[in-house]
This record gives sequence, C-alpha cells and structure tokens, in this order.
Amino acid sequence: MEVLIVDDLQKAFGRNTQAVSGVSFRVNKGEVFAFLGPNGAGKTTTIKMIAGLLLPDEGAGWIDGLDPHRNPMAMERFGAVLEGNRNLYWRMTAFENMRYFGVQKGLSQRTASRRADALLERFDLISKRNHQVRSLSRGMQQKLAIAVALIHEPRMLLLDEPTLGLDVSSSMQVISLIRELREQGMAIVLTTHQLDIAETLADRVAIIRDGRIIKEASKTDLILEFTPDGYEIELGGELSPANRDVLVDEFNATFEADRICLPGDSDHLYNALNVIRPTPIRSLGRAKVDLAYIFLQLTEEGYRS
Amino acid sequence: MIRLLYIELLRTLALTIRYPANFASSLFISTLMFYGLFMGAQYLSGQEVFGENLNAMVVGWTAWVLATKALNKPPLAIQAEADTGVLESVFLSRYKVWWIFFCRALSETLVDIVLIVIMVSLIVWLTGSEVSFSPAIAFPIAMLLLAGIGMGLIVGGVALQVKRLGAMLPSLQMLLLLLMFTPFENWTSGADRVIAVAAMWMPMVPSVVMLRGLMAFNTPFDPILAVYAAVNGIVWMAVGLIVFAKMAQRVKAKGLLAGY
Repeated sequence: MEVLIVDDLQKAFGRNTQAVSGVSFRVNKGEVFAFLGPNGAGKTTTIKMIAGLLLPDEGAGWIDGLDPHRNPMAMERFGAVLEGNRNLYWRMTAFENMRYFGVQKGLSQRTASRRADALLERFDLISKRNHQVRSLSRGMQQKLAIAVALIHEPRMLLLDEPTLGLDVSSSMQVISLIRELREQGMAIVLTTHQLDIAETLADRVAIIRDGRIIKEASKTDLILEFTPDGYEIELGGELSPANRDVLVDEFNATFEADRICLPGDSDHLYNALNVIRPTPIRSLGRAKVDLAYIFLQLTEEGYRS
Repeated sequence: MIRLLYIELLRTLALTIRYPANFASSLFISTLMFYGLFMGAQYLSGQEVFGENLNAMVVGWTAWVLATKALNKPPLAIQAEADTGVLESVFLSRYKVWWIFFCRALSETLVDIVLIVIMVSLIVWLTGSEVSFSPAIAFPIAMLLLAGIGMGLIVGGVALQVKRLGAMLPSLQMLLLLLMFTPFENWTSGADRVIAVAAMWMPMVPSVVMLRGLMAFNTPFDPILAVYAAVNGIVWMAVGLIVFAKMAQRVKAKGLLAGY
C-alpha cells in the first residue's frame, strides 16, 4: 500500500540553478526508502518539498493522498526529523517539547501529554523528562527529535541524516528504532551519506544526482545488478607460481593478497578449483558489492561522462 | 484556536520563568527603571508624580512598553528560531503559520501584561501611592495592542525573508514614538487638520488619542473615536496577518526558511 507518491517534482532557485528535475517515486507501508546522493544533489530540497516546507515549481507529493501544500490535514500524516541538531527548543524540557509539537500536530493537550510520557518511556528518555534539551547528549537529542516526530502517530517518517554526528552506540540505537518502526508498518524516507547505514536499513534505494533520480530499485535487485559474475576465493596457504600463472592466463583471475577474484560461471569455478588443488581454501563465495561501491559507480560515472 | 493559544501560553510561561533567578532579577531591574522614570519625571516637572499624575504615567508607560514589545518580539523570535533551525519545525505544524504567530503574539502580550501588573503593584507598594483607572481605558489599550500585534506581524513577515532586522527595529520604535506622542487631536485647522484625519489611519493613533483624552484630559468616552480605534486596531491586525501569510508563502516558494 502506497503511503507516499511523489510525482514529477521540480524546483529551480533563480534562473541557473535547477535543484530538482522531475523526481518521482513511491514509498509503501512498512518500507524504508533510502534516498541517496552526493552533496547538492537535491535530496534535502526534495524532502522539504514533500514536507510542505518548500513550494515545488511543478509536480507534487501526496501523503496518504493529501498534498501538504494544499491540505493542512496532510501535516498530521507524517513526522519529520530534518538535518541538523536543532529541531527542538533547547530551553524547553523534553516533555515540554513533545507536548508543544504534539499540539502543533493537532493533538489535544491531554493526549499530547499522555503520548509524550509513553514515548519518553519507550525511547528510554523518561529519566530526562524534565531536563532541558540543551543538557541532553547529541544521541538523546536525536532520539527525542524522532520521538517528537512520532507523537501524533504518523503514517510516514521523513528522516534527513538521522545519524549524522552520532557516536556508534547512539547510531545503533537510532538504527534499531528505525527498524522497529518499519516493523510496525511505518513508511520511512531516509536520506544519509552513511551508506553502510542505508544498506543496513533500506528496502528500496533511489540515487539522485544533479536533481534527477538516476537509479531506483529494491536494494536486493540493485546489489544483484551490480554484482559481477564471479567468485571470490580466500586461500589458506601459498599457491605455487606456476598455478598462479595458469589462473591469471587461462581464467582471467586477479589476486588481492590471499584472495582470488575469479570471473565467470560455476563451470569456470570448478575448472579453476582443479588448478588450485591442493592449496587449502579458507572461504569461497559469490563476488560481493556494497551500496557504497554502487553509489560511487553511478555518481562518478555520471561526472566522468 | 483556543488549543493553540493555550499551548503557546504554556510555552511563553515556561520560557519566561525558565531561569527563576534571572527572571526575578530582570523583574527587579525593570521595576527600578520604572521607578527611576517616575522620579525623573518628578524632578523635571517639579510636580508630585506619586499622586494624581501617577495614573496617567502608568497607563502611558504601559501602552508604550506593550506596543514596543508587540512590535519587537515577532521579528526577534523569528531571527532566533531561524538561527537555531527550529523555525522549520514550527512550519511543520498542521495549523497555518500566521495563526501560530498570532497566538504567540497574543500569549506573549498576556504574559507581559501580567508582568507589568506585578511591577506597578511593586511601585505602588514601595511608594505607598494608589492608582485608579476607569474601566473605559481597557478598550483603547486593547485596540492599541491589536494594531501593535499587526505591526509586529508585518515586521515578523519581513524577518522571515531577511532574518536580520536588529538594526532596523530602533528606527521603527522611533516611528512608533512619533505616532504615539504626536498630539494629533490638537491639530484642528488647515493642513494640520488634513494630516490629523489621515493620521487616524496610521497604526495605533486613534487608540492613543482616545487614551490620552481619557487619562490626561479626563474627557468622556467618545463613541466615534472608539469606532475609529476599533476599526484601526482590527484593520492593522488583519493587514499584519495577511502580510505575514503572504511572506510565509513567499519564503516557502523561494526556499528562504532555513536561513541559519
């Protein structure tokens, strides 16, 4: 079920800067959609247009069928944690921030207060309920910002760089929260430069460059598409120079330390294994690529061309 | 509207008394300044201020302080929130942003009124004087505040675009001073009269003229002037809301919201 439909968003700043050109995508219930791109590619501009903070020149985004630029009810359907660490009032306490932004999202004061306490408990922040935000650690502030974004029980969450500047432990906590929310059926749009986190969390990925989406696919399909045909063999011993030459000359193998990268199909692999025998093999598997490799391939290829 | 006003009131109160020592000392210093103002007036005029004249001074001072606060607070708050980035979070509200800032201005004005009442009570207690007002003055003060909030929203709307208005605010206060303390009601002949009639459409002028009449000259409640004051207050508040809403829309179109 589609929670977010983004259709042909376009935005220019001045005459010469086309920030976003024809961006379209959809995000389903219970899905993490990673929206990736280099600096200045148009990620944050797109997120802000979806959130109703920036008016698109063309196109629209519908959250649960409602356009935030036309229908204020749409603002109740999503929560957002924007880039930077100051989504909250620093001189107000954790509870006061939650209650304030809860009412801003249409809740009664009583409901906002009740949910604030429940979320502070759930996010392990209840001991900081009456502490000013400025006195919380960066990780706690970010968890609180996510809790604030969830107080009105939205259908979708926009997360712009949610782990930026967090230490490993805080990042892990945020990742775990995002996973939990996805399992509960929340649609999540995530932008990040930390591609390992995107790879950990994403169900689908879109890569944007120069304001255009250059690739959109499920994470599995994307990785499969970029995975070269071949295998990686890690040896547990020394290969003789003669066999090494055979592998290079006849099998087009390449060597990286103890690892052999072998192109080709499984027949090719069986023949190569006969050459390797009796050298011990520590591990053998399909050649792998990660999201960072794919990202660089796609973005740098564009700049080269 | 009530829900929004209530939460803005809670927010304003929370931020006002966040640091109790700071709050108490600023209240004490403001009271001292208020007291010094009266002593200065007494010294310059050679008359006893803490008697009959105290009523007029309290009302004049209160109107001036509330009007300048209504003018200054929205642009300064917008500037501070744009600096810290929280302005975008406010724009994610399900309410129209001009409603939010209107409720904010109202709640801040209410809190300011309470603080002024505390200060005046302290002065009265310290000097052993008495103050008494006709209930009729509530009307021109309310209209004056509506126009002041409208002006504050206009300047706040400009602050949404340019973010930095600190240098411009003293000039606006001078303009406000000119409007509030020019005795337009005495300009009754020739070109002066035309200017005085035109001035009735300037922000706050009919309310101030009415207030001056009631407090300084003991004139009776003038229903025609009251209509002028009401129209002036409501029109300037409406202009403020419209300008703020238009500016907010323009900021969203130009991508100027995150100006930190």
